[in-house]
Amino acid sequence: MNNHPDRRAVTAAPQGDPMLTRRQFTTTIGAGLAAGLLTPGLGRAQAGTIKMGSIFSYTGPAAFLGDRMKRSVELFVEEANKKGGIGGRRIELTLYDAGSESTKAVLAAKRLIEQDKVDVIVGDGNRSDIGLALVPSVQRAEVPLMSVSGATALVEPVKDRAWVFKSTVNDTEVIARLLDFFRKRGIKDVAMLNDTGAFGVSARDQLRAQAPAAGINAVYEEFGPGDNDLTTQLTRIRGTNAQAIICWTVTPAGVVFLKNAQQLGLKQMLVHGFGFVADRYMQLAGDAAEGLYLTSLKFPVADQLPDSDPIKATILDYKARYRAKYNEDTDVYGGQAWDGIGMVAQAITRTGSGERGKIRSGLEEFIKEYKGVGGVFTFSPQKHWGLAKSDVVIIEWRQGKFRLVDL
Amino acid sequence: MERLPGRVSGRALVAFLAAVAVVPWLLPNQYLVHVVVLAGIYVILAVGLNLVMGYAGQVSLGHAGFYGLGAYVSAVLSVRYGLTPWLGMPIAALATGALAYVVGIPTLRLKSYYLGMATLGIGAVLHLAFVQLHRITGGSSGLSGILPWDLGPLRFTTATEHYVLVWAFAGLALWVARNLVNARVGRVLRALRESEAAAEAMGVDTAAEKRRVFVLSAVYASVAGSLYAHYITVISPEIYSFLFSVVLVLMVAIGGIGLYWGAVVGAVLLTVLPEALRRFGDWEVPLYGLALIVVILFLPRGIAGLFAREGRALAPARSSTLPSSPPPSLPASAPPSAGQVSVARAHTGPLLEIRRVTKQFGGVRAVHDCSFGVADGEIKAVIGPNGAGKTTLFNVITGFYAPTAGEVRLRGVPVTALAAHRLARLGLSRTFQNLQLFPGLTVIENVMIGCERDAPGGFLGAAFALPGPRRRTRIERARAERALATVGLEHAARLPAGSLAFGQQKLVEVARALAAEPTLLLLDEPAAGLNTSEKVEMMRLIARVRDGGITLLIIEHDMRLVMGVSDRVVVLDHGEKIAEGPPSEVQRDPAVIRVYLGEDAAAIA
Repeated sequence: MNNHPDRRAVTAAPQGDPMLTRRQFTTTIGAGLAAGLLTPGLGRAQAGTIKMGSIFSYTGPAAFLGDRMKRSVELFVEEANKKGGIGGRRIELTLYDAGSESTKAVLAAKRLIEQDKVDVIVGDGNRSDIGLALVPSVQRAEVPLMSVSGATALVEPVKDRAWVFKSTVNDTEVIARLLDFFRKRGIKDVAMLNDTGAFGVSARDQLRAQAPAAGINAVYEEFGPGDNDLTTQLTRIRGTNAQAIICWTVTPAGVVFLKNAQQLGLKQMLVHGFGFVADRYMQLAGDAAEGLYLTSLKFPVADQLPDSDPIKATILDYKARYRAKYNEDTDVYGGQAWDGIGMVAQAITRTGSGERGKIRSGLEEFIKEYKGVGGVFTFSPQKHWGLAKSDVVIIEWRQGKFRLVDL
Repeated sequence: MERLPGRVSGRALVAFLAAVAVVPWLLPNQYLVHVVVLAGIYVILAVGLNLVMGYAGQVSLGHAGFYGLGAYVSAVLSVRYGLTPWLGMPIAALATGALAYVVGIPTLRLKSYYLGMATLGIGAVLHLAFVQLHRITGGSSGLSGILPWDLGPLRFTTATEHYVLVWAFAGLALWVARNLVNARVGRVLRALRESEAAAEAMGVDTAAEKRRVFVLSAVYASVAGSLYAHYITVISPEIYSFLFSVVLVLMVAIGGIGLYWGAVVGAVLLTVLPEALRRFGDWEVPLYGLALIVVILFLPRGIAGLFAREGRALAPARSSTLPSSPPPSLPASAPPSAGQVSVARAHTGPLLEIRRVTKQFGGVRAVHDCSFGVADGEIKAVIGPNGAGKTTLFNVITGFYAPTAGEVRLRGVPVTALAAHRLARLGLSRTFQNLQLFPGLTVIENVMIGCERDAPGGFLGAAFALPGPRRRTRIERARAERALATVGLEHAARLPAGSLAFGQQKLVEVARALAAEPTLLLLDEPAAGLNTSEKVEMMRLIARVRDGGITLLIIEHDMRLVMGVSDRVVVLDHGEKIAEGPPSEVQRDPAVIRVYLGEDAAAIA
């Protein structure tokens, strides 16, 4: 059949050519891969520890959110272990990068569940689509997952999402809060200008569902997340009697919206959703952002809250601790991870067990009026997202600063 | 059977598949099984892409799009209509294949970077469609609730079950790739990667061949996409972004371009490596990058290149003299095949007729109003000084150029500007002035490409190793061996053509043209670059070929060769015919002498 006496011969390499021999290559790669794959995570397993896994995207496009989330979780674990752990148990944290890819995140989740055998996962790769990709795995393995992403579908319907919780606000509440604000200001006609991404589409659907009951008329326009001119849409809106224009996006197209509105001389009230609360975007928009209203959690305006506010102290405390440790400022997203791990810790302390099922039921049972950074959380068997309308505030960008307008 | 470096025996393949079969029961947990399931999906993708990149020599940066289309079509059918993946997958594959076919018509005309850019565009458009058609696809937040794989009432849940399914498909994908690569299709693809013009001249419809492989590769990607979608049960557009296309190209490059099993190594490594590096936390990404750099730096032929059998070392250049004794057997002047006979007997005029052909390049008139005929069984030579328009005329006859005016008839049938591969199929065969061999193929493979004109296609038969194409390969091999014997090179059959001496390469080219069993053979400067003894041998070979019943049209500078072998000679000067007749007459023609020797010589004569 084949007559090759030289089958086992080492590839002949001309002298001085940087070539590996077959044996060098096979042994190095083989040993390296086996070691990397088969050894457990860095932490050493000890009796009575809580094994916690975390998946964040701290590389790739979603890293601008994931980096502070990861650091917040690490900070929490470090502080808790310094104080002797949660309920006397040390936390053993295994952190994996999702790299902003859902395939990679699923691999990380399987590894946490099957190989590292964690009791709970905090962090879902910090993007809704990545989080959604993890749901089947955790549901099947029955491991509690604390998501830090926005989509309602992560926790709804609860009967198919029994093991998933989230520490973020739903746009249901944000839209409801916005409609209250419009009513208070006597605004009856509004225009919704959303991007065609998941974030924008979901908010538009919420407005469609809630506006009629609130007695508000809405017209709708759309744009692509990468668009750099919205004058067509804004010109059409100018032709309606909308008193306020709501723009819903997390992309820089939101800056274009502000600039185009200024160029067209629009006098309507301009409103942005809660995905746009970022100093950087405001600076990019310059004067065009002056007087812009935004829906937001209380986080960016914590220092302006009355002292009686239930979470003012929590926010300021978290900010200070983060600053002390990393010598930089955190943001509202880092706060979501901070709340996520905080609530898991609370569930473990209260149930006195680090077992998967107990952590899950503990979250449903013992997270009541939990004072987090994002708001006051209350979970129940019917509700796996904790925040309410009262956690959303209306703020305004004026003279280089976010200012609290409506509490 | 001759083997090129890097071929894997059937036994090795079976051993590999057997090892694959037991893997999940050796792994300590389901996470590791999950890793190898994903690796299996990527193997299908990479093997498919390698067919396009490694064999057809075309880069595709749009494969993530085809992967996504396969995933989305069967996922949407499953979510919206409850269709089982067993039906969804073939529907998705058909849709993806059809898209690749349509897209392939214009884009595969492009070469290298341009094709890369075009496929990049296809990938981007598909990705955009997944995001923008959110009513169907769920937009950027993805599509969940996809039905898992099932077998009747049994739903697949564990990674091990999926492992069996995915690797069964991966095995099938490998088997088909191996069949194609080792059969005629692989030979043709490697040939057209090296010289598209020569392949075309031998009757290969290069566009169709490339398109078939491109479609097959897209179907591979689609199947992989469906496997993924129904395994993970949630998909989102980000998985199918441009970045993933790049990762796929990387898998092929790291594994070894052009070695079909190299893609397996690349895919498995690039799936397993990042997982192995996870435990290094923040160091994962830099270590991963470092590992890739090391492989690319130290293993330029990819990992498969390291393991590929070297074959024999390239033959030391043999003495450039040709075999001194004429080969015993006379040519491949096997009786013409049935189709040719019917055409042949119906016509009584000249075999080839050139009627008032003119070819202009902008303001330059390379050939002007040129007419002559080539009778059955004669050797006709076209001569003329440099720039007389000989090669242009040749390219018009062989279908490489369309003439500005005039027509070419073969057996009375107009064949003007017919595609080169179609002319070849009508019985017209040629060699090239500056060698157009396929240097990476063995000599016998080169010659076998000459048989392409008779029965193109056979793609599906070859893919599934049906007996028909295999029988055909045997017949073609025998034909090629006869043609090699005619030129006296049967001893060199298994050497890479590029390793032969120049004179021998010219003979291989003649053998390749003879293997086509043409009615008309066109030789473009057969003596160029040959030494005196080689020229003598070439003259003998030409005479033998004619004696075998093949008509020849020769372009040549070398007067000795022309005068020695031709029956009639046409003389061109500045694109116009100035003389035609038997060599002895033409030699005395004052116009010809003037052209070659100048006015004074004509006066003396």
